[in-house]
Amino acid sequence: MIGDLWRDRTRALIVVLAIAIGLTGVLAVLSTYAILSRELNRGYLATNPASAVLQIDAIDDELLAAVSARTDIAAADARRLVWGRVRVGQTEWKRLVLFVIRDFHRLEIGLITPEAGEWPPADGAMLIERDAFQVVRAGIGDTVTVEISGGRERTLRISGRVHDPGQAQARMEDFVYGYITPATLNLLDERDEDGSLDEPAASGKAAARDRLYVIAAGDRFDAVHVRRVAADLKRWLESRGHIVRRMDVPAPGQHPHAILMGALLLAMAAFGLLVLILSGVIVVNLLLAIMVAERRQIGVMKAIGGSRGQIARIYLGEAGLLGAAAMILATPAGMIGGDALARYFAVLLNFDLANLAVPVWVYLLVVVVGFLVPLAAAAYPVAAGTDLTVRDALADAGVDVGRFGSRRLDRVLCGIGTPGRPLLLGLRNCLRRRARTALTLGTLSVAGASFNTTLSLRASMMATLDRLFGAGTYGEASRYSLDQHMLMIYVFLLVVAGVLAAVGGLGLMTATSLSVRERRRELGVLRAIGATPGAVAVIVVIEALFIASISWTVALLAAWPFTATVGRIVAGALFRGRFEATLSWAAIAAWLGMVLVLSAIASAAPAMTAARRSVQEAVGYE
Amino acid sequence: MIDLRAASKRYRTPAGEFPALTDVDLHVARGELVAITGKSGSGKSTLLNLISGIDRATTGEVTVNGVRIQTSSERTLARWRGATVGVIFQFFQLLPTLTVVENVMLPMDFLRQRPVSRRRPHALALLERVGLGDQAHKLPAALSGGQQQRVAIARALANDPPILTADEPTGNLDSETAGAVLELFRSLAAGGTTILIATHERDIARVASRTVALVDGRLAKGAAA
Repeated sequence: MIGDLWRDRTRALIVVLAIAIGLTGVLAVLSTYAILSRELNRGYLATNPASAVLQIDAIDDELLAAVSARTDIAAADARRLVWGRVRVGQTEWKRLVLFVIRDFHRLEIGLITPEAGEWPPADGAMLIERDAFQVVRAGIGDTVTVEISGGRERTLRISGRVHDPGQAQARMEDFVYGYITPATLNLLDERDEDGSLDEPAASGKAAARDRLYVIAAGDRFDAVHVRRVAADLKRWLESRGHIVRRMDVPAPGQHPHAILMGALLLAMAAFGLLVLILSGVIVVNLLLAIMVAERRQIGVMKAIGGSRGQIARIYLGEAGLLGAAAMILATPAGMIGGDALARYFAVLLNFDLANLAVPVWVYLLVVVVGFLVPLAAAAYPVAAGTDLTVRDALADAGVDVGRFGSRRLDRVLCGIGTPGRPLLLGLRNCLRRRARTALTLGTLSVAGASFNTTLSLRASMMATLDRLFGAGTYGEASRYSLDQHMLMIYVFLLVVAGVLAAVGGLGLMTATSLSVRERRRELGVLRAIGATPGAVAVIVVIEALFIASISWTVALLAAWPFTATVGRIVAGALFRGRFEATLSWAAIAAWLGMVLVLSAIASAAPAMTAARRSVQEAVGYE
Repeated sequence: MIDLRAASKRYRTPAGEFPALTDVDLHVARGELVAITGKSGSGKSTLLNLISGIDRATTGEVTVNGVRIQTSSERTLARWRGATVGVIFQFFQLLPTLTVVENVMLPMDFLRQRPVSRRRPHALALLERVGLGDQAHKLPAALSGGQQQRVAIARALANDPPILTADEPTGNLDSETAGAVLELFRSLAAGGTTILIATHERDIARVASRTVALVDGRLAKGAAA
């Protein structure tokens, strides 16, 4: 058993690598999911998030006290939120969201944590959310120019850094989140000369608080209960003459981006499984080739009394060994990958990870999958390979002429006769093991379609945004922000394309290598009738390039419907506008180059093996 | 034409060194049809391999058509073989994905001496010569064993080589088809082609101009060298 794998060690190594890639992906994604689903909500709950936020005309201390006194409200707080802009560099402006907080020492809901500098900020100074420093491109102690709606440009000193886990990543939104006192807001807006903070905004007092944050009493994680409390509060406020402009009731206890993250992780897990299945395809190829090579041995074992089940167990054991070897490689890689991915998501979602421990169930699941995939993949080749009569198993007559030509596609290809025989050999050989070719072709096609779709999707989104915001307005904030929101999806799809291309390349390498092995005698015949080692190598490479070219064509044909479909879904969700689907011809051309280079690399080693083998060894007369 | 002097071939095996041929001296003149006979494992195929440049002697000298085989590179030997030696195998070894005529054109494609436009007509003429002109566009799988062997002979003749080597060429044919193939060899030899046939069948020895017998890798005593 180990001897068989050792004899096929290069191919076995490729198979182990392919399974390991898939297992690494699954382990990384599962551990990220386990870490984030635990940490994200725990970290978010630690900020004591509001059950509901009501945007009303004005909130004074008396109203706040009355709300807090309600039996269905556990806690209440009020803030003002002011939109403005902040100058970055000499001419560029970024959107500014200022949270006006009356008492930084008595925050009860939506806690923010000081990280550096002043706490609370002095009048005339502003604290900045930690991720927003990269947007504003300034540091603590620097002075920036800000302007709030309708006001004049004023300067504010950045006096400290805070972490606000309730806000989305500032870079993604392209916002700057600032935290100031009511007095600072009055400084920014000269129209409020008396400094009064608690007057209604309608009377021209800009600093009045307008957002009411409440935590429901009772089960605050019961969505129905929370919505009922919020609705009661809204009616109560309206009955007292207040205008409730908006009421937000987020999913209780859940980070605002938890659903998005869950969907993304689900997609990644599905992708990891896809890679595993594709690696299973390579296992199928390897085992099919081993079973063909072992026909005589199987015949001998049967002739001396071995049962089909006994023989099958030998080869299934080989598949199990491949899975075990892959797990040894995948476990540390997956742990490192999961750690990195969890940290990346944490930065993206703007929260800190307190504990990176991966639960045991993740490892157990990976062990089960790691054994199941190669065993399932080996089932068919082993079943087919052991279902031979002793007579069939022991028969061998060199080059197998019996397979090709019986199907219509074979005969169609036989009609193409002009390019020269060496080229034809490469083209037609692809059809001899059509299931193997189809699987390799499928993997490379999916990789190409993913790559083309991703870049075409971005080109299409840009065209759509140009239409929405006006052409040539790349710097326009909304367009940039939308593009940044999409970035995570683009990167994910490109990573998918990259990993699929890697697995496809490994599959192509295995398929080509197996093809060379199976045609050892045939390639020897070519040498015997005058083919130089180089000519034989070229035939092998042509075969791989042909598969790559077909996969590129399939990827090209798939790019348009994929781009249009995904684009319409995304555009519908983001801005409900018409989606301008367009293909990225640069991506399509780039993929052609990449897939050809990949196939040339994948076939280089088998081609060199074919070229190096002596004619005598290949033909093997005696 | 073919000159072997004290040619020996030893293979390394896990059980130690195995002598396939030992001190073989052989001279074959142009137009001879030589039958190399011997039991299975006697070294017949190894001798053919040394002559066709498929393998190299461990010691001794092998000179074929003026070329010293052991000093030539693989690439040089490939081109030399394409032009000088036509190789015929026991199991025909036609390329299953190429049609009959394409199989015959393949050596011409490798050697590239004949203009592209003249390769197909030449291949068709060779197929006519072996009696398979009407089968030119079929795949090998559609032919009988005897027909496949005749295609293999046509392929071996594609570049008009002065030498043909054939390893058990009638081993998988019925007696009638085998007779037709041998007749073809005899007519080729009469036309000046040097032919070496490894065989353990007496029929071939009867049509040969000379028989060389091998016993345990050595020329049998009394064998004409």
